[in-house]
Amino acid sequence: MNAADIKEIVEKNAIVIFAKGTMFQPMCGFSANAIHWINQLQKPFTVVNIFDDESIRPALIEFSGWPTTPQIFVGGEMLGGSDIVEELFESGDLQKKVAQAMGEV
Amino acid sequence: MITIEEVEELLAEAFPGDEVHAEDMTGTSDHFAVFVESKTFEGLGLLEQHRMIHNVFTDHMQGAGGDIHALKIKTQTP
Repeated sequence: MNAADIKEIVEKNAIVIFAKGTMFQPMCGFSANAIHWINQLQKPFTVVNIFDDESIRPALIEFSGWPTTPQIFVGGEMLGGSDIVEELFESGDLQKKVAQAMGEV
Repeated sequence: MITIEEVEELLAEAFPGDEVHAEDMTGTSDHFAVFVESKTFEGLGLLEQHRMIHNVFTDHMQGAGGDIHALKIKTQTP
């Protein structure tokens, strides 16, 4: 996978989490936390497990310039990691961004 | 191994005069929760604020040969 593939994934899917592990079996507390908050939205989302292929992580870092995982994208925009998603959920900004990305507003 | 004190020192150097705080989340000196309250965050999005914290610890992350596996970050303005 390269940076162009990452771009394609985040542009084709309204909500994408690049995580360590899967939606049902996150391998890291931060990834689990990110999935938890996104799950609260009750909208379809995509989880890409960075352990599926060793090329994913470097491609992701090249694309976003962000050093850590998880990374959450909404409407192609990188929002940040699990702490940011939690804060954005609590402020209601996450719900707004998701509604926009899904063409609901 | 990096200690809570060292983590707080790095933050204090990067954010002089600001309120900084660190906690060892797991007791294993590799997962830290850090808090910084700084005027320098004013007008910046959360992404940029967190990026400034990442930059403090770049050389101390496991990926760069350091001890820190993960950081939980909380930033705010005074």
